[in-house]
Amino acid sequence: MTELRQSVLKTPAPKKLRNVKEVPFVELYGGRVQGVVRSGSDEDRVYVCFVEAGTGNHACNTNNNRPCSQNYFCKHRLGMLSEAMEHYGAERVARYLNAPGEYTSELSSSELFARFPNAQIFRGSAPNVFSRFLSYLRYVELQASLDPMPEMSWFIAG
Amino acid sequence: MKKTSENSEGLTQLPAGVLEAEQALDALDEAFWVGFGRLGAEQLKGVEALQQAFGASALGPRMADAVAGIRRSEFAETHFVTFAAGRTALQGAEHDALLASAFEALGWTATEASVETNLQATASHHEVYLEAARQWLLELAIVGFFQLTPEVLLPFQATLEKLQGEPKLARQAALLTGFYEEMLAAIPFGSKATVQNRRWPDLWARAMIICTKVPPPAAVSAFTGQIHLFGVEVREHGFYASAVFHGIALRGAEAIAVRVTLSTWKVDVVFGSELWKLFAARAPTLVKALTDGLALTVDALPLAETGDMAWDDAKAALAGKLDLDAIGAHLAPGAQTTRRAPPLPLDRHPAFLALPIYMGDFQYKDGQISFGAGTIPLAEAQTPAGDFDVDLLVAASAAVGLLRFNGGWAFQPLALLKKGKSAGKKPLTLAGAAAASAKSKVDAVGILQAKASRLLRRKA
Repeated sequence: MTELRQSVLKTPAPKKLRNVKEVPFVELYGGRVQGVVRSGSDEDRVYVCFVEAGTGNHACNTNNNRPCSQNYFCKHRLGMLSEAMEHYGAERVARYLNAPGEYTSELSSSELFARFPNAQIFRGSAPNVFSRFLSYLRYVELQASLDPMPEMSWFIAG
Repeated sequence: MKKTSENSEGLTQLPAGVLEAEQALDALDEAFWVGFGRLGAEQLKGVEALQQAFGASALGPRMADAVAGIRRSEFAETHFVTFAAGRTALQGAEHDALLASAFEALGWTATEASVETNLQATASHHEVYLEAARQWLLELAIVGFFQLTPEVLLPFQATLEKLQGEPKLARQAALLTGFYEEMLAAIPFGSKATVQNRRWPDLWARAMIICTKVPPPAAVSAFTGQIHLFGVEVREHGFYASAVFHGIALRGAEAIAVRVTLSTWKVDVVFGSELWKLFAARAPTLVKALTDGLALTVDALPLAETGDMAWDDAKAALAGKLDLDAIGAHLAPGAQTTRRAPPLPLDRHPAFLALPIYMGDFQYKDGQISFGAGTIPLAEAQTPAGDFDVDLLVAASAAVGLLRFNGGWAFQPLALLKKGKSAGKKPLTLAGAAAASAKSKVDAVGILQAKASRLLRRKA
């Protein structure tokens, strides 16, 4: 039979359940791996981190835009990146960051960071990561419908 | 395109007209990827060929207008609604031809009656959100998928949040959310560019259609009788999931193929057993029937003419053990009396075809499935990862599942059975049952809900 184009393609599914308590939010978005990390000391505070694709430039600030006291490769940045690698798979994260070198599933977050020796710390506010996190949290409170959803035929986790 | 196929090769031969329709769609795909704002001579020819395909039909004059408009760089919404309608009409015709040829090959009788719908007025604030969605879709089409940037995508977030807040617009919101997030995750394409696909133009056209006219629900009647589930398929993207339970409803001598859909908004960390916790909280009896392999009795559940049941756990009770071989017989090739409801007219798309079938002589080898009516591949794209492993497929000698179409017919197993001493009494495995009965060790939903009530309230 003639090969026809396929309309249903699998949606990449999380590889593993990440540690939601430590890192409640992580995503590949707008050319950055970004996320939110719990503060060990204050329940109302979170750290907002990102690593930029291509350059490896990175940042870590509190949700009130105070820079993280540790300057470089803090546990928040590394933790966020590790959980992103759990969630999406190390290879996909490395590819998304356009990191130099080979991509394997055994890659660790500190090894991945080290692939960007010229990376700079990004000063100033982390662009919209925290508001993305708040939008993300909205989803767990939304009301779904009991109606048939034929359009969901297009979305299969794989 | 002709409505029925004259050949009887059925599942391995494309019915008349499908190939031509697919070629027209290829040309249209090209325009969506390149962008209607930057079509070259080659792509314009493709779009014009589409116009010719509609020459004498009711859509013909509108299509001629739309193509002429694009030639003049006049990017009016109405032209793009026309392209979406044209795409939908072609795929609707493909759907009908595929369905007819499959029914003929498998000896099933089509239910001729068309589905009655209940027309409903759209609320005025819904109209506003839908119009904003169409505007954004228009923007995407002009720019072209290859040129997508965050600047094109991100302004849609505000509209998307409005749509998500309206349960009556859940179809639009769930589709647009999945499409939006998929595009965001894919860009920048970089050097390892995703290949041009049929999927995004399809999602775009579908969104345009259901944002132009909110699909009316099908007419319903009350059903009292038994339901025998033969599996569930979980359809999900990061933020929305539907568990579609497939079963046979029995009322006296009458057998009807039915579906029950449970849906929930979610986030990407909620999947597998975490997701099933949400479904089980909503419909404990239904989920227990699945995990324990039991039949159900229901009292006056709303059953739509499309075969969709609106679930209400309070109206259901568990009954005896499932006998899937006996139930399967209602879905076997040649089983003439089972009612297989037609979809709503707007819901005729090849990707929505999901025909329940029982294969009493199932054989799996190297990705191919042989049964009485031929050999077709496993529906790789439609079978969620982890539903079945190869060992189980190889061990099975009978199966219940769905015939799907994705560039060709394929089989999506829902229940695998083994013939033997205990023939038919106990399935080897039922899709979804393992994830539904697994105990989840973490409580991702609980953690995030606690965070949400803390942070979202504080913000407000």
